[in-house]
Amino acid sequence: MIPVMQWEAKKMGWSNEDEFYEDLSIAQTIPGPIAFNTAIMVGKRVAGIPGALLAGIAVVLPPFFAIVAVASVIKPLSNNIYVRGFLKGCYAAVIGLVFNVFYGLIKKQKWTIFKVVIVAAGVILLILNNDLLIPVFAGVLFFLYFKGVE
Amino acid sequence: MILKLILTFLKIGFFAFGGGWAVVGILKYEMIEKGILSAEEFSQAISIAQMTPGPVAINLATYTGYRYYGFTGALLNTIAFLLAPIVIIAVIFYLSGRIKINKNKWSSSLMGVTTVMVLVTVYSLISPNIKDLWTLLIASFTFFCINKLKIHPLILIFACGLIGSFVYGVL
Repeated sequence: MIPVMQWEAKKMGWSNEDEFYEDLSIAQTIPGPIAFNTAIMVGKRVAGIPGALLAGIAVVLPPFFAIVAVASVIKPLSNNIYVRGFLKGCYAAVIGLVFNVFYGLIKKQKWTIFKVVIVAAGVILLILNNDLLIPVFAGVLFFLYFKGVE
Repeated sequence: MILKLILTFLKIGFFAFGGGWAVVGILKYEMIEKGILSAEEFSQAISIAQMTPGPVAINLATYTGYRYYGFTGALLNTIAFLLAPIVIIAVIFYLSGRIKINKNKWSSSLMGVTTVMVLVTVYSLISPNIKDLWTLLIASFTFFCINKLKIHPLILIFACGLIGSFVYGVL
């Protein structure tokens, strides 16, 4: 989705390459879907706060109605054995795709001690499986960040 | 009950660092733990969210809302999930120019966090299905196809759906 957005933004003269990457990097560092955040940043650049609002709404509307349409059709079908099999097969494919995302993340980043600590802490949290620890984990991360540990 | 659903998605919105696949693990944990969706319903929701255009996490929020409370539920749940990024972006717009953040260091740290969260997602997607050999076979096949053969994900999902239809429906 991001490359398409970049292409359109350039074609329409909304932002040049540097500006787009600046918007994208901010979009990636805040929580929330990256495509949604990027749309808001680009909207702000083009037309201020109203632009940001409209861009945010516009990027969500098509998937929203697509999901509502699919969900209303799939409900009566979800007991059909072939439909269930189809969805199970898709689910298995998704596992493979997400593993590929994980593999890419491991491969493309520079591994510092700080990062190994973060990842190790995360894996420990995963084993403990206690979601209350996630804010604590984020707190430690912020502390280390502002202390300037490299 | 609708309030519980919306509050859950609102909370997850604040932890949704790294976009789509990073939050799916947490979403699954929360949905199943709170009894909002069963494991099979969740896997169906994931398949549908991935096949429909748009970011997977937003689609999951919309789908889950629709599943229980129709159009209103879908609308409210989508808004709840996106509230966190909206608020944070608003704060950033307000503060921009007043403080300076070391963006490189910040985003590099977050990439570590994203790695963990995607690992959580991989783990949670596999964990209830580990006994099912077909699931693992199809997953490995997909990973090979996308990594080595660079086949488009949508084609892969559709093809694996057909394989699933055959394997689970006919065999």
